[in-house]
Amino acid sequence: MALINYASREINCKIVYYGTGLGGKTTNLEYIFKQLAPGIRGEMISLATETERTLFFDFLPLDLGSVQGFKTKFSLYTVPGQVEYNASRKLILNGVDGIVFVADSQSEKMAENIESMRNMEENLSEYGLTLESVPYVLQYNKRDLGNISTFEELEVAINPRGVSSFEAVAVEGSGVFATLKAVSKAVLNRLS
Amino acid sequence: MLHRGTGNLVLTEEGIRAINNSLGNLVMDSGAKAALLLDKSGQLIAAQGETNALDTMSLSALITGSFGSNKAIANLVGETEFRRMFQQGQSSSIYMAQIVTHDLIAVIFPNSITVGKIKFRVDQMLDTLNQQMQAMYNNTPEAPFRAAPSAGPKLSDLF
Ligand SMILES: Nc1nc2c(ncn2[C@@H]2O[C@H](COP(=O)(O)OP(=O)(O)OP(=O)(O)O)[C@@H](O)[C@H]2O)c(=O)[nH]1
Ligand SMILES: [Mg+2]
Repeated sequence: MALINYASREINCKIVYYGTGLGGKTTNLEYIFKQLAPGIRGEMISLATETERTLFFDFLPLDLGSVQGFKTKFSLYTVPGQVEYNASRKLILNGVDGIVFVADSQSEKMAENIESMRNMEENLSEYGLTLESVPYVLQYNKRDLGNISTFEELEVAINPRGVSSFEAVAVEGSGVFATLKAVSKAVLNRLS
Repeated sequence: MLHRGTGNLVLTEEGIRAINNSLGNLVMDSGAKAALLLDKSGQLIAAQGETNALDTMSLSALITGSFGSNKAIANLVGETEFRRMFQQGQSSSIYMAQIVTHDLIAVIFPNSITVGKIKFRVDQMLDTLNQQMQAMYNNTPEAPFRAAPSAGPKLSDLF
């Protein structure tokens, strides 16, 4: 749910990067942080283990400037993908306005991607939400690796609704902003 | 538990004025540095006091997160939730409390003031804040943006 403040003419939206462990969610936020000027993005907070795995969440605030007279701000979050951290994943989804599902393109990760998608739907349902009610886009990450599923195979497996999907190499930044732009658009269109 | 679903939270000028008034009074009466009201998804609703030096967005995300993880701790010791939290620092501390709508108030105060005094003032204010937030949730959301076609092109220059 977006926070729409008519007193300060501000809109705040929450976007969550979801997906399997090591899929590249944190890498997406790190790239966005690096590329944007400090006036547009705030500091990035990562609550991570010593081995850089997300423990609770990453948080990156963005200030998109004025959209139709409203100062528009996005809070980007990632969830921890590791199976055992489901309680944290559920918490982060509270009040979500839009989702980027980051899939790991490696063939051997296909089953994990499908399970993570199922887990996401289950956690959304705890808040009375479904993939029909929350705008979301897909990112097929790690396209630089050799042993990957084809775009079509991924579409069939995890994109039955045919929402926007993007190939990405998040470590190099390719596809990262295309994905962010698509989810932003979907979220803001929901407000009109 | 209250869930917001996809409905948006619309903060009216009048509603925000009332909440700022409550938070402002709390800061004045207690001697606290700042008081923040956060919604349960981690976004800042309102803040009063010395907020310029504070990164209120990060504070909101982290306080909401720590409340969430403490709820999990509560469950492990047979409680449904902890409604209050207190973090003590060297020179200042934070007292946090949840209102019925599940939104949070966080008060940052110097250690020259006792936590008991802050707790007393915050607890006095909870009913009022709760009513003010309930009123906000009962607002009929209206679309802030004009129809989609005009929002579309504008977005391409965002990043
Ligand atoms: N080859 C390749 N490696 C990538 C790509 N994107 C991310 N990685 C690497 O994959 C590893 C995991 O990336 P993270 O961004 O930490 O993954 P995550 O989804 O946040 O993982 P959790 O926090 O455990 O859920 C890191 O070593 C990244 O450098 C990519 O496009 N290609
Ligand atoms: Mg991560």
